[in-house]
Amino acid sequence: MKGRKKSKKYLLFAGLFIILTTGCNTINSNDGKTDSNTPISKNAFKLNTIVTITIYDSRDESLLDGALAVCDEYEQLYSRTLETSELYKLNNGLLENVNNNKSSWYVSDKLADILDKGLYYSKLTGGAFDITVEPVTSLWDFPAENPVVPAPAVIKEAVTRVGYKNLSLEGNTVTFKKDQMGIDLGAIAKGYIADRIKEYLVEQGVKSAMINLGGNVLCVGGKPAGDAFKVGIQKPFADRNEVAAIMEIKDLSVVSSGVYERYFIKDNTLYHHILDPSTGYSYDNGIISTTIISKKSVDGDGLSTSCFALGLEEGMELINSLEDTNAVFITEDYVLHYSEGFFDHIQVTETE
Amino acid sequence: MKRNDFILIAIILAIAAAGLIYLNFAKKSGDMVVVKVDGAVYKELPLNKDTTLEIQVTGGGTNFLVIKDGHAIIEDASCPDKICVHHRQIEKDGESIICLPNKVVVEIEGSKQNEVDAVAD
Repeated sequence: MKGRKKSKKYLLFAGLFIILTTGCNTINSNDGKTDSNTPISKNAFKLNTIVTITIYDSRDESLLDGALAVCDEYEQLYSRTLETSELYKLNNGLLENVNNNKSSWYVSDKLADILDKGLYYSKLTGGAFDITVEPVTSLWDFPAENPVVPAPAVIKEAVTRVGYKNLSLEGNTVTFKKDQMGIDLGAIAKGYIADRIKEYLVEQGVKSAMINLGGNVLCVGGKPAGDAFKVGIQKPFADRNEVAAIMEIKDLSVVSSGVYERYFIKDNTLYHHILDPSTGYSYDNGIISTTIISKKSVDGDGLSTSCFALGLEEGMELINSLEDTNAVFITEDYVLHYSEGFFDHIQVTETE
Repeated sequence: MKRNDFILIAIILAIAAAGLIYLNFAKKSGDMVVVKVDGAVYKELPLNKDTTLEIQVTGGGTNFLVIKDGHAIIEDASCPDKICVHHRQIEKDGESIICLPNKVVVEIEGSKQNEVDAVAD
């Protein structure tokens, strides 16, 4: 009988052993979904692209929804194609006129603010970047199934309606000094909206997050353990997600512009979406991608297009003249060109 | 202690060890391919089982997903730009293939670490 008792004891120990080993393991093997170190993430199709928000230091899913709601709010203001947006109404003369002046309209504070930023970059580049390029951009449809090159005469006429000097912004009053002008915020809106999302997340106490608006990347802090985020630079024309270099980034924005994003080839000519406001056709100056690392994403967005427009030399000069701003340009020969002092600030690894 | 006690202990330990091995194995092979259409989960498939799936989206669009040898790829699609078809195969955690026109996301939830947290493009 003594043996029975002992064996019961062992049975108890063995049972405990099973619970301790396999029991714990079951929890851990749950795809890490219950692990508090796993980030929460959500993606949605917004702003004509895919928006992904990832939060590393909170389990509160409502923060993801709140961030996506910021996207919706601004899409309703800045979309060129959405017929209910404030920008669409401005471009089509549907807003309230100022003092019965048929070419002046009242705009909201939020539209006025981004127009101000857009005008800043238009002036900075002497019109190589121009937010009044809408008459030209609306002629091209790059993602179309059978894209067509618009007729030369049509492009020529549209170009005459482009020019930021004919756009005046005073407080909340916008005036078009020419007929049939239009504004396209496509080159800065994603950066501007990314900044607003970061503001929202920081206000909510988030210290570690990644905002990705279709490749317009903005980091909130670094990883929870203090490591930097690893942000890749898309390799031009390679399969999507193949990277040319990987950078270590904390709390900064990384924005790229490239000819490979939206383009088509017709009669051996590559037509891409970065259009020269003075000709109405794509830029062709040897650069195939620009990547800007900056504090504010709106600056990265505006500068990535601006540098494209200015070319390798002038573009690099512009970046080198700005504080806290770095850049990598990739030229047709697939060589990576870095701004002055790049390596003092950013750790980067080029891939094979 | 009697001989039977040792046998009992041995059996119990063997069961525990088998449980451990099974669970560890299940964990390693738990990589999933998550297909989402317009933000909602459409289908979840194991990455380690070769299969195909025709993703049908509202409005008649389709994307043809192929899972083979531990990779996922879109082999054909109805979208005009075919960016999803040109995307290289995916296998690492967080990697995704996106079709904007059809609002389709094919994403890996897995154990193979991705070398980047985001790609600027």
